[in-house]
Amino acid sequence: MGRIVGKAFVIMTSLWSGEHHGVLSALIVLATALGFSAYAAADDGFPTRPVTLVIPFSAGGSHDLNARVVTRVIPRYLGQPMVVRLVPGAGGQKGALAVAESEPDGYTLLFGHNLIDQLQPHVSDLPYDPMTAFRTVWKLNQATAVIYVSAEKGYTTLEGLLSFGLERPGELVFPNSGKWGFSFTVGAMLMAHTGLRVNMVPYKGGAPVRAAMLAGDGDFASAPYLNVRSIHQAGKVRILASVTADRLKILPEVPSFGELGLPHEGAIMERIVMAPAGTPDDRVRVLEDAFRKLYRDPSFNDLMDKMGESLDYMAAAEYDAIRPGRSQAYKALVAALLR
Amino acid sequence: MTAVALVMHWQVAVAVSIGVAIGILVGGLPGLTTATAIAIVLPFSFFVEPLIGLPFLIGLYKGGIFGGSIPAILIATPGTGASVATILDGPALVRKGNGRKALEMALYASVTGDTASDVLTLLLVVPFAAAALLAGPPEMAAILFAAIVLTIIAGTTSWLRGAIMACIGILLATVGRDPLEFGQRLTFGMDILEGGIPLLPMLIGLFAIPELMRMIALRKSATGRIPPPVDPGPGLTLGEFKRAGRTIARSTFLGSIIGIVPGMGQPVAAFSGYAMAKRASPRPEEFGRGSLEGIAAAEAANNAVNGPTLIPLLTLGIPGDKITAILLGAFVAHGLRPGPQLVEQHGPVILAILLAMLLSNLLLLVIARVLIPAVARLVTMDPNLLAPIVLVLAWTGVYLYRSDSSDLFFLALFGVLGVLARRGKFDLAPMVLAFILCESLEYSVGQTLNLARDGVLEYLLLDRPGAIIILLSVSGVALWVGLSEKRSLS
Repeated sequence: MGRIVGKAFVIMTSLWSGEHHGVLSALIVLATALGFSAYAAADDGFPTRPVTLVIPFSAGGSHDLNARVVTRVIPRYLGQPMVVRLVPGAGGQKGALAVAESEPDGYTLLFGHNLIDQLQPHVSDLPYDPMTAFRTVWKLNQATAVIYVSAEKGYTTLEGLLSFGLERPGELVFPNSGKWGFSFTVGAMLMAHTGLRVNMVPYKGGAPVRAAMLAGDGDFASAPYLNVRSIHQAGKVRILASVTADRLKILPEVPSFGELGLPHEGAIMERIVMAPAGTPDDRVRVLEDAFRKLYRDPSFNDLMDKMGESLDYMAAAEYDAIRPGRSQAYKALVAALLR
Repeated sequence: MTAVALVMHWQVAVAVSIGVAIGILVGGLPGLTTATAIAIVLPFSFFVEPLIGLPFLIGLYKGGIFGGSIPAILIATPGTGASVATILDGPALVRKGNGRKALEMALYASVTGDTASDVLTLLLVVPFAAAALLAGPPEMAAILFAAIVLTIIAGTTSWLRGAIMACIGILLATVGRDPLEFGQRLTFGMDILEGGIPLLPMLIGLFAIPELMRMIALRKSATGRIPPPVDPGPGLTLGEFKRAGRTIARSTFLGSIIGIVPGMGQPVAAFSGYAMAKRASPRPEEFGRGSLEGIAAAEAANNAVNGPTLIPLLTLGIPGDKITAILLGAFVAHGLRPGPQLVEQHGPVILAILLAMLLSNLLLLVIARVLIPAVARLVTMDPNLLAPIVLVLAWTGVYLYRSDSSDLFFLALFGVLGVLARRGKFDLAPMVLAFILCESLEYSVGQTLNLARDGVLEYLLLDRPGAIIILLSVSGVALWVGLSEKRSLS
């Protein structure tokens, strides 16, 4: 009986997306908790109650929207709802700290990205070390960048832009979406590698950067191609290069950083689900398994596709293996730039 | 014509009605934000046709913005920055026994402002796409500065007190992570301050707690008897609405212009509309003491922002605020990628969505009109019951917002500050507005300084005369108001 009640709640809650805000969701959580206390008695395997996914950013951002899709479908495979809890603040470090300090029982997870995990520790004073405080559950997806310029400015090749900039240090304006964020890091890597010095102007997110570029306030900028596709197709901006090893399939005529001999390793934004480091292996495996099944779910694939998100996932062990090296590389980048 | 045919389906009307109803509910309950509600229902809208899913979200957006004015008027509890200007007069009207008039004025002004600005959006969406780009960092900085100055000089009883409060607002807003650099500011090593001071607990603390204290004080009145409950009063008359006509028109115009510029938002519109209405009114002394015109000014202006924010969104793919950012995701998911070619490629669908916005205004009018008499009766409740309900709403609202117990501390702290400010006759509006705008102001000033490599004055004079013109005209207005006040005193 308990099992049936439990299943009914799984179905109910997977119909509504998991959400920690609002009266409705409070009711769901309460109802589920009641329903699952019976369920738990029948089957004591993890998880026996809803899993909380902490997002260290504010509502409506890309992490939030990705999480809405995940939490809507994953209860089918997890056997429990996954509820979103938004803990924005301090560029993502507030939410990360909350998860680092939480009980390592698999019920509290962090939905962050690689720059919070591997780069930002080198530029701020954190009460924890992400490398020892977290372990990976699943790398959800990733975004790579392109370098673009306004079509009204004269730059037609990246080499041309770079040589112009190298002759006039500090004169090229590079609007970016915030210090040590994704587009800033791409610019920083380019600067550290070529010795280019540009005027980095911070904006609040990617959309204001696009507006600044269209208004002619910036010389060049970086963004995931998806975000500039419509203004590119309308001929408002020129794409000079993709910040990847090989050319993008969607832009076969645009040279890649790889062929230009420019640094692209780590010029990436990866969305990752992490758990406190002390979380037992078997629980991480249960969670990882649910994500693996999620990635075979047609409706999940359909939803992510509609949002234009990639599905380049990585399993826990695979991603944990690249984290320390990446962290060291970012550390060197920060040192090179601050020098 | 195709567009009209696309909208003329009962499913569209049903989707919009459900959206509007959910929106009013979510907006009306403090702590539930419209942005969060839209993010939650977004995946559902993916599975239906664009002409059902998108109008549904737009209905929720409009319903939410109006819904926020209900607790603002009835129990002085704002759900968002957009409804703070409504608090200046709403609760005072309720106390005078005109609660129902206040709610109806808020509704009619909202719907009028919204509809007029939507029509403007329909007409301007193609020719005015580029207007969104006219305001770069220096112009933004000048406009934001002007909005704060305008609120101080026109919205408060004393310039000096207003300026002090605005400074406090700016000081509080700078606590936490520096938006431009990476460091922490004014946190004194306290973890609780590292994320900055949250807006919602601050708003509820500043406005709802003093209101609560007032309710409790009333209960213990000298007679020892419980005072009779306040009557919601009669509905709004046509004459009263007509008298606010000029104010509504002015606020709609102002809100529409502010809406076209991405990142300005409803609070700027509401406060500017309010301040200008007070200046122009033959009865400025009523403002802040329960003026129907004040409600009309704030509500028409903040709703007039809704339509035009879609202009930069649809034509350039640039969202002006959090809610339009989520709408951008919804458009993309339906294969309508906002950008310069959207209107060319999907003309009829886009036109139909804009028509659905007009439909959602109409449905908002109908649904809210049915709800208002019932909702307005809330104030007829015995204060012995109402006070604990407001108390619970304030506390749970703040906690539900993001389930962070430190927010309850901020609620209590700002509650004390709100009570003190009321005692000392300090207006809270400049403080709240300065707090809300500080981050954008800091960004735009920082960007201006970065862009002005050869010196700020030179940059502004040679490249950006617009910013100088805005700043000069604000100083002019301030000077003129100051002189005319001096003359009227002597």
